[in-house]
Amino acid sequence: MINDPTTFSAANLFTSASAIWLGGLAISAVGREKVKSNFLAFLMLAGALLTLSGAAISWNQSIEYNQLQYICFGLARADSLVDPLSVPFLALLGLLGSATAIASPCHTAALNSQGKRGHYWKLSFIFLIGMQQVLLAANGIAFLVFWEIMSLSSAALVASDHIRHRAQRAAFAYLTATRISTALITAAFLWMHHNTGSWSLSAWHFGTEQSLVAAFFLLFAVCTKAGVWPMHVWLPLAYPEPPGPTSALFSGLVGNMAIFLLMRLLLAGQCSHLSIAYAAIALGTISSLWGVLFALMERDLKKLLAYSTVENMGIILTAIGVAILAHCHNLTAIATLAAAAALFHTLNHGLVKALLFLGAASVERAVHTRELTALGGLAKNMPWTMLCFFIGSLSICAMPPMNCFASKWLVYQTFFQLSYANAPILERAMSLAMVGILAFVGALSLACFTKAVGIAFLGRPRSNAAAKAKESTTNGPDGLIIAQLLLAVACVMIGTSVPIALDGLAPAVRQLTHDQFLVGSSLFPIPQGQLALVGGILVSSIYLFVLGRRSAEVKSYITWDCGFGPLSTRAEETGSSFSHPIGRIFSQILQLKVTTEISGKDRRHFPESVRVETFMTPILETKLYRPVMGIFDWLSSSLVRLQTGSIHIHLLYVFLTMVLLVFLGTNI
Amino acid sequence: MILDTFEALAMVAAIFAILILGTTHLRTNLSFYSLHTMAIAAVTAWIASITHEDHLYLVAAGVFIIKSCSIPWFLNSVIKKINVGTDGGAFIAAPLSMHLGALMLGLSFMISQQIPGLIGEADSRLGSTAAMSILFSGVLLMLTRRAAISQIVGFLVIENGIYLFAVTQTHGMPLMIEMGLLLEVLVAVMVAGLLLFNIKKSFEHIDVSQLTELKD
Amino acid sequence: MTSINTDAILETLVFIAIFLLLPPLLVGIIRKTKARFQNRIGAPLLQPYFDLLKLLSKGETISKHTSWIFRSTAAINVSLLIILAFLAPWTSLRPFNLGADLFLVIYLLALTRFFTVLSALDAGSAFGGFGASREVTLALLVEPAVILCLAAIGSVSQTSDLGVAFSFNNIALANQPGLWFIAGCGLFLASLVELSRMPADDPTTHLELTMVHEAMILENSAANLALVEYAHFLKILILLGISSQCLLHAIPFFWHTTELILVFSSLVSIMILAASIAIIESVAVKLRWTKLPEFIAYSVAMSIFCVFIALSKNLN
Repeated sequence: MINDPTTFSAANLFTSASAIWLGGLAISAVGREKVKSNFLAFLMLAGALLTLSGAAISWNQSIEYNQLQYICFGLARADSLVDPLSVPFLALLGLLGSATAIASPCHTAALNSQGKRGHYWKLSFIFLIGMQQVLLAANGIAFLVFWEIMSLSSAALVASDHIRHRAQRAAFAYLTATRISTALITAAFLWMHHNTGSWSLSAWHFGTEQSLVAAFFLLFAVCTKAGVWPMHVWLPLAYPEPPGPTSALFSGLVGNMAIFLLMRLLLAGQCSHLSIAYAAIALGTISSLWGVLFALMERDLKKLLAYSTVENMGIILTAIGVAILAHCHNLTAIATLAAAAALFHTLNHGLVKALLFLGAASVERAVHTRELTALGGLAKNMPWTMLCFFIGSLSICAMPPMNCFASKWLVYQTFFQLSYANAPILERAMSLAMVGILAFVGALSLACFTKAVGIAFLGRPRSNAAAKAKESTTNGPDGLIIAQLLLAVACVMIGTSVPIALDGLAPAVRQLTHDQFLVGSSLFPIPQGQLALVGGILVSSIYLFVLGRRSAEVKSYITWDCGFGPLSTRAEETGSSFSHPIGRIFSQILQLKVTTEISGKDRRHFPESVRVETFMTPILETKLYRPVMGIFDWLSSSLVRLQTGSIHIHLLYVFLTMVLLVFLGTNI
Repeated sequence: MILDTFEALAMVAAIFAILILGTTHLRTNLSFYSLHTMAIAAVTAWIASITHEDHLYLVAAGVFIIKSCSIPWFLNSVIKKINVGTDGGAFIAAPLSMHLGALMLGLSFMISQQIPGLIGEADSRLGSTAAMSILFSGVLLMLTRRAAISQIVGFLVIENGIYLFAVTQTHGMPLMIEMGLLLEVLVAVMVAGLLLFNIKKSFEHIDVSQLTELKD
Repeated sequence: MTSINTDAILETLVFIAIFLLLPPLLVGIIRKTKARFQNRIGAPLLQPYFDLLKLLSKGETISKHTSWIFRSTAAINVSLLIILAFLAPWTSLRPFNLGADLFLVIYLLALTRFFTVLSALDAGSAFGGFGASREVTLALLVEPAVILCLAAIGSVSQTSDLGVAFSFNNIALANQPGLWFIAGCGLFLASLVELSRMPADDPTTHLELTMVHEAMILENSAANLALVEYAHFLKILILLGISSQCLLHAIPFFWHTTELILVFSSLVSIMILAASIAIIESVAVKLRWTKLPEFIAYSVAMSIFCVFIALSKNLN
């Protein structure tokens, strides 16, 4: 549509990426030898790099093409559209795909059966193709088809280790969530098609009265798929299960696809319903508080990261809510800021979450467990993993020189500027309250991730497996380590050059807010890169002049043990005790109970054994989900009575349906 | 919004009333209460100087001596005699009730915006905001605390709130009524204190939530 | 032109000298005041300087279970606090305006806390572990109070740049004694908790079970300990400085005086606040751990009041 060479080359790049992945799928489906895992990884990497370069070329342009137009889905063809909003997401897909590709060979080498290997490669390729085409889909039908492909392949990936009961439950929960979200999206699409008469995504305008229902369907669908309270219960079950390298793709992109849909339809579609904004802000706030609180109390490293995803999705949803709110009140500066904050935080969070999940996968591979009670002291044996996980934790707690600080700063600024803008006083009060709540959430996530890093990597090993952990399968850093380093370097680079990153995102933000005069780098006035540089100089000078001098006199000894003699590792702080004080403050929400049983002949003065148990009942699952599922169970079992097995009754059903159809047909 | 001095003093009184809610330590409650009442006495004196009604000076002095000095002194001696240091329990945790009281301040601001316009130069929306929030704080104190002393302090705070509302909206009531009110409060508190001492002697506790046998 | 340049350079040098040399003096003031309250002479006022120098010359013992995080935390914290001393509005002597964003200041403090907590967990000792756990709990309760007080001030002046909000040329905040005073009280109460002073934590306790801050720095020795202590002193300076600036802004006299008086009184007010910390420590008792949220709730209530005052400006 613009320059033919650019259109042509961008379209070619994306299509060839998909074609390469399709080829990889074919090869992994038919071939049989072990050698080709490197070749398949190379194919995946090639496709990812082609996607990345396609995104780079189509920056700041809007390209429509339909190279796949011979694929017809009945109601519409597979038209593709690359607009400024999809460019950053395609770039993220390319980056995470490359990381997965680099980390895959060592993972498949450790799998012991050819079936599992084939399963892994096939599903990964289908997943990648599905995600890429979802981002490129130009109309609702193509979107739905590729969305389904993406969901089903990711569900199968979750069920990879399907012998284990845990993976079965996870896959089932995930499938339920995707069914609900797809159903709601389909309903929303049908509604909008009925209103506007076209299937094309860019033709749907959400500013009208009739689009309110569709907007609500979309909001709830995205909440279910992205894991926003109260539909987040599948996240901690499903996020830990995909195999190591694909967990980066899964965690970094599944939620982001849902947010992408929300942004493309509601933000770019000029949604102006206040109720949607309020609902988004309310759900997002509760979700961020709930997620980080449960993350803090978790004992499983990957579940902790999954709950932290719930928290960040909540923050993104509140930013989107404020963008819609500001649009309703015609506060364009705040709307722009909110849209930029939401977009930047989505991308940053995807990148950082992928990095953290790769780190957790590396820990799981070395120690064969994810429980924090068995980890510890891994900094000695796994230095690279520890460094990358540390950088990831710094980033996700929004600590200053990192990328997530910039995006969280933008979220803070939207609320802060809303507090003195020309808005009703209740909204201004809400925005200042949100500043306090965001600070609260930030402090909780600091507690959570210092626990994750400190208990897992620092201190002394709490189990034999942790003491003997070996980081990589080869003598040097292997694929998983290199993938983590790649993502960590990307985080640091974005963090120190935020104005450049924001300039890169400016076309996307312009599309979201229709604000033509936006300059990206003016949104973030803090010189983060220079501050990091100054900090580095200061640290090195302190080292040179103060610490470096007397290194000869340093004595290495054990940790101070109060004179008791060698303390076992059980005397160390555990994850649960680290988070217990905070858990006590919130014991109503967590349903945290501690029971103590002291037994012995004279219990008070000479106890023989003491038993302490800590219970946490998940309140949402027991109070909300179980009754609802019970109702569905009851409904289903009472409907079973319709199926009597008698031929006469079934014939009666057929006859009644016929009568009903005739009746309906003649009256309408 | 520039504050007049008496509005600022009224807000200070409201803030102290909210701070009463924040702790279950009875002597701290009483010290905050006496500071709160001193602020109200100062409001009365300032209004007296603005509106040149001399009887309000007498009322201010009365409030200061009776409500701000002698009642807390008396209640302190009662506490010492019955040997109760902290309120046994609260139905909502003390910090939470203080935050609720602070939110009530915002709520009373919104309510006082709706009051139709009042005349007179000593009227103010901020005065009625402060008065209503003091009222809410007193009600919260009575609703959520168990010890009988807290009930008495809550009653006194409510009374302060009503008094402040009258003073800021109407230049104060005639001298006889004010003095009568002060005397009544003093007598009521003394009777309550004596009753408290007897309750403690007979029941061994001053937990109001356990005194539920009001019906047969 | 050259005279203005040398003026600015001189001011900058004086500024650097003050923030490098003043912190141990503050701690000396606190200790001396406490000693006088306890009717004893106490150590000399300059003792903290001598202590730091003594620590620098000692031999160091490092636990062999620690990693690079423990070894670098002290240096990183001191660097972060030096950067903060340049950015945060802790004094009226500001020879340059470096754009001190509110959220940047709070998150730099949080970054120092991140490293301190990790270094406490690094040695694998039980004391470090529960000191770290208590520290993050207290930080959780105090952060909203601090950020809401400062955000209320920023909201009234319609900028999140603290350098602009705290300058004495800012008209929007010129006549707000209530806001500044309440914010100052809230920030002072929050600083008591963040600096691990009574009634939140006794800095002179020897019982590990009662420690919050001391438990986290138990493993440090010699030069590391000197740096950690110095970092803590710098934090005292910065947090007390911000509170004293709020309280100074509440007094109308300071809005119309010369710059020299302003600078002098800002430094004196920091010392007065340090002495009042000492008085509080001599008079108050350390609260039980479960009673601490009640104390912190007062600081949060102050911040809610500040928010209400901020919302009532710009009413339309």
